[in-house]
Amino acid sequence: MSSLLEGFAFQKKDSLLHRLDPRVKLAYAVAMMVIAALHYALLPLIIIFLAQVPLALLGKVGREFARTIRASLPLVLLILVTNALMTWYMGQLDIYAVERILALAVRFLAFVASFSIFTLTTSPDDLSLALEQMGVPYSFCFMFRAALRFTPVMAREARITMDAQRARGLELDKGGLLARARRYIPILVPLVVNAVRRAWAMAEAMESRAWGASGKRTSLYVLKMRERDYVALCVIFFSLLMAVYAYWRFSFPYLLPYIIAALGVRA
Amino acid sequence: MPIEVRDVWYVYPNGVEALRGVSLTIREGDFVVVMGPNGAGKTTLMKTLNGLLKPTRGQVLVDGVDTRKATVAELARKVGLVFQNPDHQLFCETVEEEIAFALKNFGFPEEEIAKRVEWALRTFGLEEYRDSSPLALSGGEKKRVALASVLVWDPKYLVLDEPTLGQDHAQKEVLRELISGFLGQRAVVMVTHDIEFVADFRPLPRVVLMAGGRVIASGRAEEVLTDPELLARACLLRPQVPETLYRLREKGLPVRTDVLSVEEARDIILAALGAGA
Repeated sequence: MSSLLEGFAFQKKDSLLHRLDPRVKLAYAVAMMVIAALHYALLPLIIIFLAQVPLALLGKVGREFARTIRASLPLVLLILVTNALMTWYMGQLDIYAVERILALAVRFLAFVASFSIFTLTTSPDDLSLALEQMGVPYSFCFMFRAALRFTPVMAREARITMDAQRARGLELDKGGLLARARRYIPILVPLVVNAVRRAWAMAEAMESRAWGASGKRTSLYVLKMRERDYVALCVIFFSLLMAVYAYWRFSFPYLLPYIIAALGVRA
Repeated sequence: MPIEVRDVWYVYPNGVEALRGVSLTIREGDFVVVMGPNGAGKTTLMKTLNGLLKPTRGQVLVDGVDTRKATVAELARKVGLVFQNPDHQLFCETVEEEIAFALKNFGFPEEEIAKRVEWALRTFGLEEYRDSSPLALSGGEKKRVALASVLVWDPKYLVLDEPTLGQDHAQKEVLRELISGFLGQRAVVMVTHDIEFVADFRPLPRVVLMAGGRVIASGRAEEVLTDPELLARACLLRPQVPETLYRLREKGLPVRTDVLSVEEARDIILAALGAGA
């Protein structure tokens, strides 16, 4: 799970994708998700997924992208198994049903891919700036950024508290599931209490520095759409249009019967 | 049987070498103070003593048992480690429960728990807070609860990581008295930056200076804490007593400077003045 989350962590690099306006990248992620949600056949979903691989390479985050996909495989497996079991229970697990289930899994991968490319190449500061300039209230943007900022702090504190309680004889990995869950109380209580305390302290420190004194905030950095951003936006819009057209105009054939037939001929 | 730290190296997963060949022996009844700049590896060393961290190279033996071959819970029974910040560990609804927590983990029988908790509440002056929430106490009281919650199981080796952090003078004196009371009966290892706190202990401890993951000096407090060169390498200020003697000597008064006690310094100065007059 942690490696899956790591796969979404921003990578500071210099690439065309990194330089793009964060709003354009957000538009890309949303458009990809819409396209993937629209299509339900295996073939277009595979194309949607594969089409994003070159983008990851363009953004110089190929390795992180691959790691995210690898880390999401257990969830893919979960989707496959639960759907297969449900369909089988309903009594119609034929080759077409299998293909539909496979399509679900690939759709999930397409979601992960677009979101991952977006977060891997967009710094939290840029994202918050984008939200701000899209009219989202500043306090929400700040909350979002603070949450990201304090995640590693919480992780560090959790480790210290775990050590402190183990030094008092707490054994975390002993006993059944319920007993084990109960043993996390000595870790969760200090963690939550400290988080609330820190939030208060931070609020006071920020108010001492006149946070929220003026209703209208200006930003030191102002996002400005450049030529390349407009080009990218056009490409995204065109892709979306094409995908909707394809969805409306074509009905995609099932792939598995062809594949099996081809294999059968060879055998 | 002692704790033996033998040429221990510790490398954190992110590649930081926190310990680079540390050797140290802590015998029964020893009083050892570990000092040094931030990032010297002091806390890392303390965590290897009860097996929270297993050495990357070298070994730590607690009464002959390799820490790599025992669980933290087994080792903690002998090596009681009190962390810097009580806020990282206090979680129970009452002080009484907080102190009993470790005893329950170690499987002490009920009446033994009750007896020991009574002793701890009395010893640490916490009787009136028995039913209070440990989270609502003052900084000094929290520190005492954390200390009590470890000493209650009577570990043979007591390890304290910066016990005076954020404590006022009165609280420090209370802590000193408590710690002094345990000296001799059990080994005490203490990490601190507070050089005056150390200088006022009687008996004086053995001082181990660390820097850059290594032990750079180890010896009697009177020798280590009055050596200007060593103190500079450990980012420590000379305590006020030897500093005063040193400045008097600069003015031509023939006095020794390897002294930490106010009384001894007074006698030396008077003797030197008498000799001069």
